[in-house]
Amino acid sequence: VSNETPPAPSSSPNTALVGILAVVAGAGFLYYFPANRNLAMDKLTIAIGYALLILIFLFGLIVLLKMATGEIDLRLLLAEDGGNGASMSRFQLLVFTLVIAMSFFLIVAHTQQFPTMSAEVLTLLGISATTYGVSKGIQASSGQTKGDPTPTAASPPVTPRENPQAAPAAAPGQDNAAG
Amino acid sequence: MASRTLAIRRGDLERLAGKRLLMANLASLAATCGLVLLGGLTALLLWRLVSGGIPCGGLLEGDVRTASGTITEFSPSRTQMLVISTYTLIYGVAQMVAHPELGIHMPRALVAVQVGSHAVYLVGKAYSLLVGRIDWKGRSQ
Repeated sequence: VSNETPPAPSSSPNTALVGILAVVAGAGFLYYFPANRNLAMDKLTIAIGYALLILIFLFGLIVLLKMATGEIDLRLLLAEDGGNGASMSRFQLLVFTLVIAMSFFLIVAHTQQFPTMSAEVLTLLGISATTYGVSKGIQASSGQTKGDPTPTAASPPVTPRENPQAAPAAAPGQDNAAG
Repeated sequence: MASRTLAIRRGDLERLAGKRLLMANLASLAATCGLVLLGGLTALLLWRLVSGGIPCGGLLEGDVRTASGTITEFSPSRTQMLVISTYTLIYGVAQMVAHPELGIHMPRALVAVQVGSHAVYLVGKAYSLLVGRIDWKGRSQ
């Protein structure tokens, strides 16, 4: 019988973070615990506001840090499925979303109230998302997807950037001889 | 009695002032957090785009189906879409910066142009990938 004891599980940073947050929340609750009921509601409202803000900020910060360190891979963010280069619809959707989000943030910071989304902005976002979806559909219909095993017909290169993965399906009455 | 009423009112006023102060602090903190997150995300994506961490090669090139396979070449439909989208975004941001109290407002004509641009892109892409340069009578380019 081996006398070796199993190694103690290492505490992850997430556990430490949750512990610190719990201690801070408990201390805040004990410090702000009021006897007056109206005061209690006020404090509760403000405490929930702060807690939600901290929670959302930490979620966003963790995702941002993972993106910055490369743990979340961004290399294929604009890559076209099965294609050679970047996808225009992905690029367009990314830029539209970023710019509109920044614009709304500036509006909120300037007016200190929640903005109304105009029909034009919603239409623009809808167009971008629809274009992206339809573009994916067209690619799937043409058989130009990532895992397409269709072999490429041997042919002289027409351009330097020939796509070796995507070959068209045989069309009815099609002559395969390149002319 | 009067002094007690005054004391209660003074307490209410102090409570109200404290609440407003905390809410104002919460709003400013939220603005700071939003700026950090959105600014950080934008800066990170821009940096990756500029440095090549997110490859943008072939953004203006599209695949065209031919009888012998799929070739990649310059795509005018992608170019027009990029130009019109850039113009629309610049117009919207300029409007928003000039009149932030009005929000983002765009003329319907510009939205219609955007719709047409996307339609041209999608039709061009569908034609290139599904039909391409195949002569159905037996010849191809």
